[in-house]
Amino acid sequence: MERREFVKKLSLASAAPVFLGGIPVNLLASNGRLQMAAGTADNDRVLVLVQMHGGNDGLNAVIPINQYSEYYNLRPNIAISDAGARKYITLDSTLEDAKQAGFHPDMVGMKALYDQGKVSIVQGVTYTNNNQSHFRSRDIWFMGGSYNENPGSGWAGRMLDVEYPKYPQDYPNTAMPDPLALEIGANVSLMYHRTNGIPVAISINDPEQFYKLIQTVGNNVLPEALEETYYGKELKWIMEIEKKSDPYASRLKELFDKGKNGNVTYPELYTLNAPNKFLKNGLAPQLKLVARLLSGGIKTKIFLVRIGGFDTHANQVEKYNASYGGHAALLYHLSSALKAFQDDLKEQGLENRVMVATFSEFGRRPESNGSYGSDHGSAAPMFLVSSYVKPGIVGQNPDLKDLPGGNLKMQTDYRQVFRTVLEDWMQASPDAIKATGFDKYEKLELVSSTPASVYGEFNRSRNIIGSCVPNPARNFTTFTIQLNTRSLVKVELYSQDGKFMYSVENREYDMGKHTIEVPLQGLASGVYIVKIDSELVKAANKVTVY
Amino acid sequence: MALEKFTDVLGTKNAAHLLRRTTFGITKADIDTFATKTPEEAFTLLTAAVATPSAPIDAKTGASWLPKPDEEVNSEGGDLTQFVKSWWLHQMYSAGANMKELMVFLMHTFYPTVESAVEDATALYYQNALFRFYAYGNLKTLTKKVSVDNAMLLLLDGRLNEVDRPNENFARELFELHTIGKGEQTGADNYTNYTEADIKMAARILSGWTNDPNFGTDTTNSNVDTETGIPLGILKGEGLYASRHDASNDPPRKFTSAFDNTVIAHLDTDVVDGKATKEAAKEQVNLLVDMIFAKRATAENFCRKIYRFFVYYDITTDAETNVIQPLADTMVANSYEILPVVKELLTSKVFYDANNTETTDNTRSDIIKSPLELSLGGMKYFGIQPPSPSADITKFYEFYGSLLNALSDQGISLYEPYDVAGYDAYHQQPDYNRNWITVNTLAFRYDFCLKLGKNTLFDGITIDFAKYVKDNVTAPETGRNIVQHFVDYLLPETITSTGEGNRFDYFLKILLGDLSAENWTTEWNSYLSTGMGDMVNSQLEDLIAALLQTPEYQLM
Repeated sequence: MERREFVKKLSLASAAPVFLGGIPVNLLASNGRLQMAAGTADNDRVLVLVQMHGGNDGLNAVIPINQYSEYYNLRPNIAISDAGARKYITLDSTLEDAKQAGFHPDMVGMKALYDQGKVSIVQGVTYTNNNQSHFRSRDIWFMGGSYNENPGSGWAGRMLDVEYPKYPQDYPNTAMPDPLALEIGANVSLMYHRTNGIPVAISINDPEQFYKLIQTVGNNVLPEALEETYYGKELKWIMEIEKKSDPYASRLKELFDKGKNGNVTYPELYTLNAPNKFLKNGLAPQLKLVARLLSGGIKTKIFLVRIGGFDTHANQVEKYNASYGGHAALLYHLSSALKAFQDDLKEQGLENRVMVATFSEFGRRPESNGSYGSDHGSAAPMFLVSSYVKPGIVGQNPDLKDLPGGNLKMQTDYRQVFRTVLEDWMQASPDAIKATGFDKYEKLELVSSTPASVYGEFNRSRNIIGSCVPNPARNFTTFTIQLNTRSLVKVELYSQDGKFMYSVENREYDMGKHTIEVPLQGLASGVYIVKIDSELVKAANKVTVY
Repeated sequence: MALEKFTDVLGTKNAAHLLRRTTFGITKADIDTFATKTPEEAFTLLTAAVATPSAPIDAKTGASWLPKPDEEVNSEGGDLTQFVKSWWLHQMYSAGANMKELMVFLMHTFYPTVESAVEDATALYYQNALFRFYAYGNLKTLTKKVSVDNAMLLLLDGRLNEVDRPNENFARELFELHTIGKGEQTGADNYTNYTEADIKMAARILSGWTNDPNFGTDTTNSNVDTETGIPLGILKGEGLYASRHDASNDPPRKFTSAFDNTVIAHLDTDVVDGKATKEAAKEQVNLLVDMIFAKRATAENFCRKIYRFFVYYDITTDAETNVIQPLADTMVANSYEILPVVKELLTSKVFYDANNTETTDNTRSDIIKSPLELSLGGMKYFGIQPPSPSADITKFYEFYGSLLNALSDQGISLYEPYDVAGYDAYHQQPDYNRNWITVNTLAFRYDFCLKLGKNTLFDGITIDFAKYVKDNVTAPETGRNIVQHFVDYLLPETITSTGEGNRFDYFLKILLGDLSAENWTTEWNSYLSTGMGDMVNSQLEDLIAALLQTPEYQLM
């Protein structure tokens, strides 16, 4: 670079707090890599946000079973039953009373993920004076503000603006060849809007179809930079979006072609009773696409997917059985799609890179209405799904005797959750966090430093195998097994030197504590090994036979 | 103080500017006609009376299915809904240089509907007819009727709102989406212009209604509006009394200080055995709407929507003070008649950027066309004729069916916005109409323009560009004149025409097929003498396709 040019550029540089070798990093910003290295941690961690549009009725998703009669009395016409084939799924028998919760019976997928130690549920999430308008409240969640703030930009937009400076002109580049953020669908939500300039996300539905389309449309030449008229500004808006189409369409197709999905079946339909418009799983194809792009090597770090239909003012449930119906279908879609997504990532070795966070603009009122539904409410649970969560429940069940204004009380500000995820999981830079406005909010214990493992601590504390009693034993011995979920339990007897003797048990056991008898008649005296394997915990008990 | 009037004759650019923002598609002849008019004359032309269109035809029976479909005889609901959408699109397309249909669409953005939630084609039709009746009419009266319109009762659960089981869904949106709008949130449940308590009170006032599945044909309980002849929703209960309406004055039917503590009580004489008369219950709705419209904030909210629709999505403090407030004055002074307000805006200096010499606040060409204006506008300009419904109803519906799909790809699913707030462009702050453009939707908009230019849009329909040029362009044997003509009539502003890599030359090169200007002259003259247009049409198609697939063409 010519010395004079260098000096000229110096005077145009905006405030650059970072110097590398005496040169302000901003000057080198056209090589995005350096700025990124200076500002952000170089990791390949990804955040997938699932927006549940309409206001999810959290109380029927995570049921406070320690207050079951209060729960039932508030909403008898939509309450999930505590008995029978369609009762709630007890989440975790080891939880203290105040946290004792049950899932809606169709959240089987989410329960399975919970059992694997991959789910954290944050209870009571909202913001003070939550706005009960869908549109304003959703905008607040997207903008990252308080009830009376209107920054006009989204938190992800502001954050990515810091992490990837000089967008769009310096992108794509070799360090960041991919969209800064991706939204599945045709539109770009407010969350990705910046204070100035086009949004940071590209919206996509079908990379193949999109690529084909982009190849054929548009001109090669675009109008030049324009005067500061409104016409000029709108032209600029359109042009900047257009300029991103070609490179990103090619790139997304390339990633799509290179990537694949694992040997996993993504759910398509709710097969139980619900109105027609709820039967199709709208979330699964979106997550499937995200998994495929990740498999193809996409460097995009934030994804947004949407599932709508949660505004269940009326007919939230089927009148004859509240466990079925529209809301049930949606919870099923959410759970089964997240399970399939997680399985897909796991199979492809991508699991440890991804965290999913679900959110909705508000929860719903604990008291149901006469239309077998519920009205706009306040606090609701957020689900975080990842092999890197600290599994369990943050906060506790809402207190159904303390309902200010008839609504569930706030326990956590949504910005605490986002800050924790962005700082502890995404390891975003302090400047990026500051740009979101979340820096003032206290973090939570949500992110683990080690990934979940099937036979790891979470499961070992919840699924406990006792030692053999009596021991030494003659004709039989027993051991207890405590299960936190219905599991397949295999029990086999081996000789001390590892020879398989016979199979004792190979069947499913319900959640709870069981005693299993191991027959020992006819065995020569000596030491034997009772090998116990139940999906989530295993043990090898030594028993001496005399 | 009213907006300063613009009295000059319009000229071509201003005429095109006005017509693009008040119609869904016009021809060169329309632009030329309006170019000779003043804004006042132009407005009179735009609002000339038109006949009320006849109802949509059921392809199965060849006739309308009103007042309500016969299950045995008529098509299924899904098909009927498709017919309603196609019929409406046809009205928009056929309107030409008349702004009635645009006003119907504007009403639709004030009171959005989601057809998958309504699930009733007849209700959709009647609501559309209601909008058409009041397209130049009174917003307050329209609101009173829309509040108990069948489609609205189905969409926002009004039909579930009863005395002992209130449902607030419609009450909330009545304040937020349809009338006064939210103000700043000043505290828990308080949105300045109204509060959650007002919503609950409004739900009481609005209780007891349901949709009329018989659309007025069952006289034991019907509510056909006398003024419009359109069947509206009915009050539950047999005979004279609204059995599911909250008739009690206890607790008091009192609104908050946001509405000056207005009380909308039931008169003792209207309530018998705890039930109010249906007449009294109907009147409650009127009194509620009167109360909301008594607030100036309601007029201001409507005027901002009107401004965004016709002028620019961003309302500066200057625009708020100098345009919105005067328009609100006019709206209030005219008791919420919409036409005086629209007229004042469309005949004002500010609309034509003639209010000052500043160019940085010029609002011409700064609106991003909706897919409707983009697609219908292009088709109309080049004279694409839809199949005649009387000649071949199937082809007619096929034509509009594929057009509806194309519009959906471009970002507007007619009657099916993502949620009840309507299409993002008309409400999603801060970007409003900028929401029409994403990488996705822009690609599909360009794709439509490409097909329009290359004559691959509709099977069996071909635009003869050569004939258009022969009839409308002076000295077209000179290629430059053709490019200039289309720049003047199709693009909102001028383009660079001098200097290295200028835009004009870029398009000219496409027309010439990268050959010489003389070559074009030869080809053109050959067309004139032989009548064989293949060569010149191929070049003209390339030119039009290129001109339409531009950021400039996306604006109006």
